[in-house]
Parts: sequence; C-alpha cells; structure tokens
Amino acid sequence: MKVLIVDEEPGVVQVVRATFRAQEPGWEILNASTGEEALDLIEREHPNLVLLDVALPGMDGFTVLKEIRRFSDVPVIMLTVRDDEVSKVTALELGADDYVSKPFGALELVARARAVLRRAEGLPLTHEEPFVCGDVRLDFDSRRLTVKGKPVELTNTEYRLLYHLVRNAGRPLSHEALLARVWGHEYTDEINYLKVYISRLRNKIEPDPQHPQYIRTEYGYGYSFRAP
Amino acid sequence: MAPPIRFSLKDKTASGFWPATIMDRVLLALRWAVLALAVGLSFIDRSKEGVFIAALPLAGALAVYNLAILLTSRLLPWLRQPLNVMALDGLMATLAVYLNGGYHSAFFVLYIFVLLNAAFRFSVVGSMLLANLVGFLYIAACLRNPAGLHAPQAWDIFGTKLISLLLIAFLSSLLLEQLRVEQQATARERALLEAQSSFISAISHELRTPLTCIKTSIELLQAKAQESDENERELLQTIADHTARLEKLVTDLLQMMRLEAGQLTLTRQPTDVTVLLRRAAAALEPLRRSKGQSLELDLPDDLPRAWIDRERIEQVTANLLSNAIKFTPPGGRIRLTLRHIPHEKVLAVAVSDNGPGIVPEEKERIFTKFYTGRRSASGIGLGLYLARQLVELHGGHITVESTPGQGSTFTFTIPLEVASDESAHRG
Repeated sequence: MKVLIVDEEPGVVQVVRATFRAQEPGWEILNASTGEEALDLIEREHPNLVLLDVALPGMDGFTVLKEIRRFSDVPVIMLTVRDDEVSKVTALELGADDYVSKPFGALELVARARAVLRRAEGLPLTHEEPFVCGDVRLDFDSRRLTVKGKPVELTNTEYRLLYHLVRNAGRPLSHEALLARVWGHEYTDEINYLKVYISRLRNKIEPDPQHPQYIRTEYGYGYSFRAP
Repeated sequence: MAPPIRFSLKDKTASGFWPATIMDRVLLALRWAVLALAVGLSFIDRSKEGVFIAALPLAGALAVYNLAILLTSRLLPWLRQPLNVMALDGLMATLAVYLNGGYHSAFFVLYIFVLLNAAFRFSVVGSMLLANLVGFLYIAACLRNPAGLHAPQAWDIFGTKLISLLLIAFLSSLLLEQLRVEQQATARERALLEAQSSFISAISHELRTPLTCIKTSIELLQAKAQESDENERELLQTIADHTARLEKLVTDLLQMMRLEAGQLTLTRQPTDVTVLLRRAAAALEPLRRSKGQSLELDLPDDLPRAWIDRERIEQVTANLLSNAIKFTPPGGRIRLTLRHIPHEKVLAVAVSDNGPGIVPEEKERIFTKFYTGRRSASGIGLGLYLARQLVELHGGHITVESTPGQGSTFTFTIPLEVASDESAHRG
C-alpha cells in the first residue's frame, strides 16, 4: 500500500510518516511539498491514497485536487487548518473522499485513511436481478448503471450510495442510516458528505436535477429512491 | 479630479472598439441617446430663423462624428484623454447649435452629454466649473447666430434652456459623487474583510500546524510508553493535557474571530437532541468522576427532532457541563434536563448545579467576551460568550438563574422551526 502525503511543513510529513510506520508498518509513505511534485509522483508511483494539504505554496490544494481528478480516481483526504463548512463542501465537490482538520490525532488520521481505503475497494459483487426504474437500470452483477440506455460512470462511493438507495426503493432511509452504511458509523454527523453525493448522483441520473424524480428528499428525515 | 467611477463588472472579452468598462458603455449609449433626442425635439422646433443646416442633415453629420470618435479613440492616444474628447464634444455641440438656429435649436441637448460625461469623471466642483464654461459656449453660439435673441420669446427659451443645463449638471454630479463615495466605502469594506479573512487563514495555519505535530507525536509516544516507567507516562499525560488545553484555546479564539467576521455557518441536520446530550455528558464522564460529583440525566425520549448543527450544540452543552463540574465542589450534584415547550415551539436544555452560584451583578456579564469574573482562575472568558453566540446563531436564547450559595441553572433554547431562508438549504 502506497500513501502520498503532500504538505509543505516537514514537521507534519514527519509525524504522518511516524504515525503510519507505527500503525501500518507495511505501508510505503511517499511525500511531496508542492502541488507540481505531487502530480508528478501520482503519475509515476500510482499511490493508493493521497493526503493533501490545502495550504500549499504556489498551486493550492484545491487546484491540485482538481488536476488529480482529471486523470486519476485515487482516494484523496484533504488536510486543512480550516474547519468551516464552505471549504469542506468545496473539497467534497471537487472530488475529495474525506476531509480532516488540523490538529488531528494519529489514531484519527489512520482510522480515516482505513475508512477511505475500505470505501475505495467497492462493494462485493452480488448476483441479483438488475434494478430497473423508469430510465434507470442498475446491474448489480457488473456494477453498471445505465440511464436511458447510456452507461453512466460511478465512483465507488456513488455506487455504494445508489446501491443502498435502490435496494430500499420506495422506502425512506434516514440521513444517519445512509451515512453509516456508505461512509461508516463515525460519519453520522457529516450531513455535508451526503448532500454533496446526493447532488452528484442526481446530476448523473435525473433528467432535471433541480426537480428530482428518482432520488426524493424526505424533509427532516433523509432520502428515498422511487419505487419501480 | 475625482477618481472616475469604475464599475467592478468588467467584460473580459471586451476588445477592439467595444468599450471595456460599464461606465464607457453607458457613456456610449448616452452619446447616441442625446443625438436621437435632439432629432426628436427638432420636430417641435418650427422656426427657420438662423438655420444654416436643417436638423436631419446635421444629425447625420453628428452621427458620422460619433462614429469617428468611436473608431479613432483606440488608435489616437490624444482621444484617450476624456478631457480632450469632452472639449471636442463641447465644440461640436456649440457648432451644431450655431448652425441650427441658435436659441431655438434642439441641438442644445448635446451639451447634456458633455455635462453627464463630466459628472461621471469629475467632482461636483469640477463638473460645475465645466458647466459654466459650457454655458458661456452656449451663450456665444446663440449670440453669434443671426437669429440672436431678438424674438420676443427668445430670452425665455434661452434662459430656460441655460438654467436646465446648469441644473442637470448640478444634480447629476451630486448623484454620481454620492455613488462614487458609496462605491469607495464598499471597496474599503471589501478590502478590510479580505484582509481579515487572510489573517484568520494565516493565523489558523500558524497555530494549528505546530499543534498537529505535537498532538500526533504525543499520541505515538503514549502508545509506545505502555511499558516504560510511571514517571515517563505521567509526564506524557501532562504534555497531552496541556496540549488539549492549548488546542481548546486556539479553537475558541479562531471560532470567535470567524464568528465576528461572519464566516461561521451552521450545518444543520435533523437531530435527536436526547442522543446528542447523552453523548456530550459521556464525554465529560472522566472529569466528573474525578471530582466525585453525581450527574442526573432527565432526558425524555420521543421528543421532536430539531434542525441543529450537532457539533455546535454539543459544544455549547459540553461548555455548560464542564463549567458546572469546574465550579461545583467535589461530591456536588449536577443535573442535565431536556424539555419540550410546545407553545414556544422550542426545546429547552438546562444544566443545573449546587455550586457556589453567581452574584446578580455578574449574571449578564458572564456572557460577554473575555469576562472571566471572580469565579475563575483559568480560561480567557470565551466559553460562555461562544455558547451564547452559537445558541443565538440557531435562533435560540441562553439565560442563567442563580442564588448565591445554592447553585446555578443555565438554560438554552433550540427553536424547532428553522427560519424559511435557512430551510431552503435543507436537502
């Protein structure tokens, strides 16, 4: 397992390296101090996980994340000193998989890294009948989604979320239940994660994402997928 | 010369002859609008006295002049100076008035463009000086025209037009001066906010980065120190406790700065407040046990869920509970209560203790920033201030009731209905 830590501060790189050495001795830790260096390393070394600081010299972390997403689906955890909702949502919308505020603890960081890697592995394939509702068809065997017959690409987290929604089609699922099933029990307060991913799914499957027909908002409770 | 009004909306694609700023576009539109107005008013002017060139051919010539100004202004540096263009426009307006019959010519409206142009670029004094100059040019054009001011109604028409020109110059320069002042104030405010925001970012980085290194290192050392001697473990625990204290201080200070800069927003989600309060109480369990205090939880189930920012309400509760633990003597009693008040459509959370209580004159002051009071030997007086701000950000209130010697009860409310502008963000 290769983890790339991108941070300008040598102290942070050092403690992250020490943390993983102590908790996951088998993992190889790479480091970069600028965005350019990080992009170069991702292309050359294909890390399994990137820990990306927002405040980088020159190209900032958000720009680096945007560049990464042009060519790679590698899971990215943003590290930042800002714990405001705006930067959190910005990071998630740009394709970050998680967001950790400094000062973080060693155990918290490793737990987040494991959770992100677990999500990136994807769900095991299941041999069930495909789910069909209107123009949406989800094939559980191959994890393929088609809308109006056209294939639609889904990230692993998007697939997990859609999978839980369609498996319970016609039944509302609470915010907590979705967060726990898709992200993990430690994420049940992170409603922003859910909002960003629901919005991404709607953009991919709804004819008019502003007036969703498939993924409905259950006000004050959660979301439901239309029954077939 | 006052700084010209520059509207912030710039068209990045502007190139060639198309004006780049909104002000220049407005002026270009006005240039053609006054020419059209002159042609329109010419139909009312029936007098042929002193007319060398009729209105329509004259308007055609002026249209050619306008086009020439537009096309050559980018090529000739001389025409990029607004004052030069204004002088040229003033002379053209004077020539048009002279050629079209002097006092009764409708082409006097061309001066309006010159005056508006001046109002956009100069201060009130500058605009009025130019208006006087324009007035003299207009008088000269009328007097030099063969029609002169001999007709019986000539002085009335001439006087009315001259006064109108001066009034337009005065009012438009006043209005635009006001706009300019407001725009400068907004720009200053924006610059101040940007400076504040980048200061908060910089200070967050400078304070939180070293804390990350310390906190992570301590955790790793603590994990290794299980087998080492007790003295070492105690020292590490002391470092860990003080780092946590420093982290709380930094977090509170940064939160205060963000609150005051209007940067703190709530992430509301439907929440079972009973569960949240149990969690907050459990987090302080070790501290309370170390003082041998009892905690009574009166948290009914099946209360309506509230749209709250869980982290912030948990922070408020933890703050009130830790204050109660801190100020109540060992062996004291603490009580955490949750009530639904249906007619007020709120949930009320109360933290009571049987500590020393608060004297009446301190009751209001304890919620103010940096007020530490007589009770506290540590802390910088931000906890209750932040609690009040966070509760009020949710639309609730926080109050305290206390009898010295018998204890205190802090109560805060959480509205069950969120304001309509906020509910729009629910998803």
